[in-house]
Amino acid sequence: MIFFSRRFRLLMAIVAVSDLVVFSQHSILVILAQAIGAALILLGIVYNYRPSSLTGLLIVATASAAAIELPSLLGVGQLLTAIVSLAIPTFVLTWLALSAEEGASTNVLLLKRPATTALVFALVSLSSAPIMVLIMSLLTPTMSTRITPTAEIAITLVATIVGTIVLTRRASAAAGLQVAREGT
Amino acid sequence: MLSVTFASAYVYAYLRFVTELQRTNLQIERNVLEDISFSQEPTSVTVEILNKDPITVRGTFEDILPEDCELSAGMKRSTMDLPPKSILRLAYSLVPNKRGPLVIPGMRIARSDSLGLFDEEQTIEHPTVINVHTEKGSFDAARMMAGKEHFEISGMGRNPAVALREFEFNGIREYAPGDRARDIHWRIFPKLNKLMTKTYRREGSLQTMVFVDSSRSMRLKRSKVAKVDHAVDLSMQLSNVLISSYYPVGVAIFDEVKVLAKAPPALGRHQFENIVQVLREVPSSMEDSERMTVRTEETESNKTLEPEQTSLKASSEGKEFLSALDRIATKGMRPALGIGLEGGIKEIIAKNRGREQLYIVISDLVSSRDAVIAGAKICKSSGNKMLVIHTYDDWYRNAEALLDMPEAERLYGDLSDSLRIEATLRGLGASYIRIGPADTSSRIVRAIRRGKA
Repeated sequence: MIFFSRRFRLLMAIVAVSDLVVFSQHSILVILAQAIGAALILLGIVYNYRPSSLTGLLIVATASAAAIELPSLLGVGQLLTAIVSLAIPTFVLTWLALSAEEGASTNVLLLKRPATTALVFALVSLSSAPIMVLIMSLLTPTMSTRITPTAEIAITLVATIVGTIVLTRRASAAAGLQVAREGT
Repeated sequence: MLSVTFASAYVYAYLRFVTELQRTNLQIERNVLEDISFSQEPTSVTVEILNKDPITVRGTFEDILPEDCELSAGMKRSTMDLPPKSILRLAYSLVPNKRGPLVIPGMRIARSDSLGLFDEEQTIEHPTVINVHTEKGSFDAARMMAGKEHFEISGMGRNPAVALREFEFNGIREYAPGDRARDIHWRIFPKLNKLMTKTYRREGSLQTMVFVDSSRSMRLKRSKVAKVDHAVDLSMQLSNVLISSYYPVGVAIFDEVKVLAKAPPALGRHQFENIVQVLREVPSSMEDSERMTVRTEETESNKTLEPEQTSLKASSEGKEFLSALDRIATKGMRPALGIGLEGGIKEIIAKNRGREQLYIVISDLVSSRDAVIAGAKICKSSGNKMLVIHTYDDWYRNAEALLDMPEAERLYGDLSDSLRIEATLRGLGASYIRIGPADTSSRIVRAIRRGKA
């Protein structure tokens, strides 16, 4: 597990917002929305107030997602752009916003194993459309592999939902044991 | 794209919460502040919970109270974040409603996720047993009786100066080689011109052992007072009366199978404490299953499934219990004979090498009838005395029940049985007294003194 101090979390939030800004189209509305969102997130972290952070997160994420141009997820370059410009900063901001009240008494904690699993899951979900196309081309080489953006979104959504169910179900079974260790 | 990100954040939060639940490492230390807990009296409990894990535990911590007690003061629940290496302290008082071992099973924590998304109830087993003694009033009664009442069946009461001497002069006889020099009667040597030896005998007070029956039938509670609770009160008060009259007293608890605990007969300041300690081990009373069975039978007629399962379970448990008893009873050469009381009496007789004993048996003579009769036979053959205090079963039943013909027949049958047992016991030289829930120790002692036993 890794501990993060409040100062480091503020720095991470600023870096993540900057990342989103860099890849966005620079209209005044987008910059304004991102600035307001970033301010709310930072205030939430400073004052340990989760609702403020979550509101800020929603504003930043919505503005950035609308402002970043990602026509397709089938190309490697576009996929990398999607991961670097939107997925990673949004994930970081989501985690920071949710854990705004966690740091009231101690430093915020990141458990390595769940974080790794979640990141792998995110990567697999994002690349589910290219993987699907690859499988289809291998199985039926003569078939046209042209996929519309809507189909891409559908594939990604299905992969995400299935992955979420599988991961949380497996964990539920483990938690269902409820074997709490008793102190000596 | 955002859906993937939020889904992965959700997955992370969930997996993290599961990990937190699995690696919970709390050290719970529960202390009962009272040395002796009494029924209907508050008992103070303190709980210290140390979080030994580097992850903060968030949620509501609640000590689980047993069924037969109530919270009287303090807080058994606290909602807080318990950081690593820190301690949460709870202090509260509970009032047990009945005598017997009271088990606080553990702690319930309504855990909440650090990211504010999930809740889960977690139970940590950490049982603490509190041996709840009978009501404080019973101790007060024992204290008041001590010194006032005399238990004449044990012989004359003694004052302390005499009681401290172990042997009394019995007579003289001719000297035999091996006699101690200090026992030789030197004064009459010039008159008789031969050595004579003084002989002594032990003081006349009988050693007394009180046997308390804690079998299943004794523990059944059919009215306000359970027989076993009454027996515990009586044994404690009788013991105190005997101790105050300088009679060595001990106490033993037995059930259908064995002697559960005992304090050998002794005198002294701490003997009453020893007796109380042993009596704390007497199992608690339990509600009569007869009523439950009647209820399930009624519901069976309504064709409901769940009560059927309950009654089936209860009857199968009962069958198992009876078959286990049968197995134990038929192992030896003498079938259907309880081994708890009989074995206890034999052991004491063997240890005391012919010294006269008094055995007071408090029993309902339901499951231990054969054992008591066997014990009386042993007492008769070995020259010991036995007093049977019969907690008559029908007098401990609910008096408000309707008296119809079958019930009247049953009562008559029970009384006939009881009279037969009384005759058998008296034939074996044992004293017998039949008591009900209203009979106090004073009344019983007086009845014995007047020769009614």
